[in-house]
Amino acid sequence: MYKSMHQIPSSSRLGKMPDRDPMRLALQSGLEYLDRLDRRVHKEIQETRSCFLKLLDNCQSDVTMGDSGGHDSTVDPQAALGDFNAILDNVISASFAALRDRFCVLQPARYSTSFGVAGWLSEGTSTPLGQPPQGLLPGSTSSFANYGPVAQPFLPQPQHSTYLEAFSVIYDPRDTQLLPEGTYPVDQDEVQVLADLMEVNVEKATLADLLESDIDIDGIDFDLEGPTESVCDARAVMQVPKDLSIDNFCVPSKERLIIAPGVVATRVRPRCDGFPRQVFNPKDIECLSSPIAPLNDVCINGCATLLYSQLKIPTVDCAILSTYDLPRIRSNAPDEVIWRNTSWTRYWEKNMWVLPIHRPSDVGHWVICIIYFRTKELHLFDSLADQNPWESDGKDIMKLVGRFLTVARQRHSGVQIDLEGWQTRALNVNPCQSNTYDCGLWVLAAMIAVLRGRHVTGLLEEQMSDFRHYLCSLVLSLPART
Amino acid sequence: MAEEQQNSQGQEEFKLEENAPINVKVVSSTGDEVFFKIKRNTKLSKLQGAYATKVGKDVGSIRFLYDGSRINDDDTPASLDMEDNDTIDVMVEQVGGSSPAYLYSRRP
Repeated sequence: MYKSMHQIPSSSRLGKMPDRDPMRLALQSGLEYLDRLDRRVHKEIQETRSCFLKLLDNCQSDVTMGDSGGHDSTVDPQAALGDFNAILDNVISASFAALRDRFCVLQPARYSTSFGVAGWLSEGTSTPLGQPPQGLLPGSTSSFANYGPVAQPFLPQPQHSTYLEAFSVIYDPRDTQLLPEGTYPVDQDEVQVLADLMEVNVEKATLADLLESDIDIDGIDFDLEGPTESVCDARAVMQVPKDLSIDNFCVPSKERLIIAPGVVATRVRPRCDGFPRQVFNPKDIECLSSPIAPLNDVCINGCATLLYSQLKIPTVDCAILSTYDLPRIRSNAPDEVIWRNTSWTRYWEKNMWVLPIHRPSDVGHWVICIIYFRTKELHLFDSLADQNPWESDGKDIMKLVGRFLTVARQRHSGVQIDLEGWQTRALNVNPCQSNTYDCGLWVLAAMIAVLRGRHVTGLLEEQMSDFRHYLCSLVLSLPART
Repeated sequence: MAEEQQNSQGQEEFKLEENAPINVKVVSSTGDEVFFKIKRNTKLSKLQGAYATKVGKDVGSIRFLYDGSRINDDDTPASLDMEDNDTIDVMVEQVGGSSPAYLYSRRP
């Protein structure tokens, strides 16, 4: 039911189903109003948040100054508190007052409190009301509210599925800036980031936990027909099936990873964790340091090795293949060429292969495929969510699997080859990239999810700038060529 | 004295052998092969430049890989422990963003 609702715009649905029940019309109009209010309040909250952030910065600078024996006279804590209260009063009471007025008109006595709003909304779940084109179904259950930003990364602003949610939990990618001090080990090494940063973002952790409770990563019995339908937010469920876990990797904010300006020299990463030596020339580093440069093969392959060493959890048993591997298959490279360039991954011993893929065409594009041998699945991720090219890519990927295993079996006995019954699965339905340069970052984000034992990245487009900076800092932390 | 002379002569021969040219095969992903003879202490950037000229491409747009590892400008056959008749694999640079036209077509 909700799936079909998702596909039918509210206007056409309303046009087809004129509703003469005045109660329904009133409810409908109320819901639409709530959506408008939701957006407005969200905007106000964003503004308030930035005010708070400024205040917080002032507080922090105050503390820092205090340590050195001084006191920043420009920041008066009392005045700051006054600002805080004023902002709170202004935003929240104004919104609630408007809401209350509206509901008093609709339903004089019963729905005049915030509790009433929640109850009122929950009725909406069973009422097939139309929904505004940009808003989520207002009646979604609150436990799935956090799907909002994950489900629609393409939207410029995170969406909230219930009005109440807007007051209780606000997801904002900038939350990462409000992390408790010391979460990132920046003091020891400005570019070292631990693997288990997930706990710091409460909203995202909740979402992942919620999903993971239903997941058996090893013994997956996937619904291969498509994402599961449910009574919760239809769009979210369409994008993230319950059996897939969303990664909650937190990208350190730029402020926490300081990169000293200067001439960039070639960085060399010696042989490490089974990977051969990696060389990043200034031109490659420039791809990462520029905010809008597309990534090249060196960035993808090189950063993959760095992320593997930085973030892979012990239970993940994967081979990171190279962006050159699929081109070699496509050009029918001889066995010895394949073996020479891939044997270091010991891919035949792994139950999962991570294959970054370059699509040439006029303007190149990066996508990624995760090859799961236990479940015989190809997980496909394209930040533009273009499903069409996967058909030919999928054939090439299976050809690669067959060739790689055949080549390995010639040299190692006991390598099993089973190419029957494989299934493909798109990890995203909607695009998460709206620019012309971040697809490489999305591929690396997808890779991080896998290295951390998850299926789908939970990063948002607005975090890509910080992510780029994080990758750049990882590369620059390598020793310069001597 | 005669023994010493013999020793130094042996060392010279060894040095000569150390810098003796080796044959290196450069293979593209499509299987095209180009052969080079290069001294063991000569920088491989010379070989890279010569190959790029031969195939008519910018040297920066070509990746030279030895056993899966990218060759650095100042590497030499000696520094990489290369042996006679070893192979260098060549791949073309890959860059990916996405086409603005495609993005536009996807806009709701």
